[in-house]
Amino acid sequence: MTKSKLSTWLLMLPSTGMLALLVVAPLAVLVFASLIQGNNLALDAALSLGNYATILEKGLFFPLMGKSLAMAGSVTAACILLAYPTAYGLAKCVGEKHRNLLVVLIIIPFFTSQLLLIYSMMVLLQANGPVMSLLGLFGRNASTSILYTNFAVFLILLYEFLPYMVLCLYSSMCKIEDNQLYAAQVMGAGKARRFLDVIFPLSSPGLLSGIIIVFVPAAGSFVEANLAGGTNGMLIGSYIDTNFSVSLNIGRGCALCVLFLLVLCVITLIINAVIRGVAGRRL
Amino acid sequence: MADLKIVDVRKSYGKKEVLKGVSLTAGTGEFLALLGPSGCGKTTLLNTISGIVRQDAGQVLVDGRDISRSPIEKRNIGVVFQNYALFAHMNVFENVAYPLRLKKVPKAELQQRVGQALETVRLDGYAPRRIAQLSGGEQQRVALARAIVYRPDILLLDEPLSALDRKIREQMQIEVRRIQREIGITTVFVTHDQGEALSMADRVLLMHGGQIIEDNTPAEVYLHPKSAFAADFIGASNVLEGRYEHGRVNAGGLALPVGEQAVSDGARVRALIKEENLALLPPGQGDLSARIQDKLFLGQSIRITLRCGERILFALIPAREAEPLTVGSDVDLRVMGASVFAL
Repeated sequence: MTKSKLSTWLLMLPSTGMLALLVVAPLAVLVFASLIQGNNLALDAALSLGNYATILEKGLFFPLMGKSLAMAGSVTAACILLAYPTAYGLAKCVGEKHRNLLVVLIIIPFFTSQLLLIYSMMVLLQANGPVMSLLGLFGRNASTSILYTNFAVFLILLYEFLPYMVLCLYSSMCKIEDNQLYAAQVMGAGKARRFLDVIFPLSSPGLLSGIIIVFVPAAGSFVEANLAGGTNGMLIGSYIDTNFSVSLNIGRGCALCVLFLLVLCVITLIINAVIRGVAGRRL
Repeated sequence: MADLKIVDVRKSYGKKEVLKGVSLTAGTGEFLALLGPSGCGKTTLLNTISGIVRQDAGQVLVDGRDISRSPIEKRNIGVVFQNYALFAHMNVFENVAYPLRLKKVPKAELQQRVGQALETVRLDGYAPRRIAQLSGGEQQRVALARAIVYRPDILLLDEPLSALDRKIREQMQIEVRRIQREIGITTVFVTHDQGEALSMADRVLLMHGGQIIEDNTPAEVYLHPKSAFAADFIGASNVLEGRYEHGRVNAGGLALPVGEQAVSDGARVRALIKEENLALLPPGQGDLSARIQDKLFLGQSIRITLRCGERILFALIPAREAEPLTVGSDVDLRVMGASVFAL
């Protein structure tokens, strides 16, 4: 090994060490803990697949996982629909003078704690609250509310994750030259074709990272569901949380985490392949 | 193929008037160069033809048909952008095929026309390449092929060669001219490079301050400019201000014989003498004497700095002729041609 190679390794040591310590090691502990029974977290504990068998027997995992995926999927889809025009407007229609201010306005929710965001949304949505009172003007009963339904959870998640999607799409759209859009237009491309043939393929890297940044945490979310989801609001995240905080069954909680992680890995790979396939169909 | 007519086009950005009533015509198959310093409005004028810029007033007519109100995508105009604006996510073939796909050209015809366009720009065999694999000159050719493949009425070129190395640029000047002649398309070319405009165009339109101030063949624009700005902008000139009297310009103790000019005696004038129009002769044989102060080697020619009384003049002479002239020696000057404008 030459000297420069050695120094490269030394330079990489802190980051590699961090990764090993904070990602690989906890994952190993997670897998290990998923193989123990109850809370007997000792090195000489008897290992078995018992937790996994119980989970599959109980039959709660797949319905809740499915519900979480559906929730995360619809939140992601709504984010994409809302964020595309916003990001396009920011990157291509707004003058440079106002652009930074508008981006800051989009980032502002990040400065507030997540719990505060959820509670303020609940205040807005509650019976006789501002939203319901406004709807009351149009003949809806203002003393009822969509709060404590799955739709309320959807709205809160959408509100929380929309800025991430906007920023991801915005940054990749800024890289599209105006002249590329003009070139397409001069050659005869109308609005729809310009979007499909130029904007979409050239912003697909941003779309991909946006989807992953929104979908993965939304699928694992549980605070929103616990606070605003009502009695039928349980998601896979809530189920995992219950095993740690209520029934104190660490082994089963960890097994649930491992299963959840595997499902998300598979889904991320599928999303990646689909986006690349769609955007790159003309390559 | 079509002719182009622009009638009294005006455009302002806020209080700044960029186009102050510009009119021009281009016959079918003609090659026009819009030449001017940056900020003269030449690109804005070009963009009003494609529709990227909407003019405040005036008309753009293609074959007598007013397209001023048509949307960009309906104008059937080909544009080569300064930075090419190719689609990096498509290969060479798909870039060139794109306008034909928009027009739903049948597959066999599409293949044949893309092949033909690539052949015209001498890129046969490049169809499957990715844009990122091409050099600047090759990207330029793809952009050109893409702009002509759908047979637009007018071809617009917005400083297409300015990003290229000198040698490739000179090659591409010849290529663009050849392709333009071959397909006979009416072309408007924007450039700030006077050499490019003079060598490529049928007609040079010199723009200054949002107006066309000169519209003539390259030779006429160069040899007989109609304004002091044109005389100064095209080619390097000695500029002298003084009084015109009997075929001479008296400026700062210097009496330069400039020949009979169409200005009245005693008028204040600006005289412009192109550097190559100042001939150096042995002492006693010319009209006024000067001393060589410096020689600047430019390759095929030499720029000589001359002290003539209080004045500094520049002369451009072929390198071979400059060899015997040494710094510090005395020479005589003769003015071989001058442009004189009343002030």
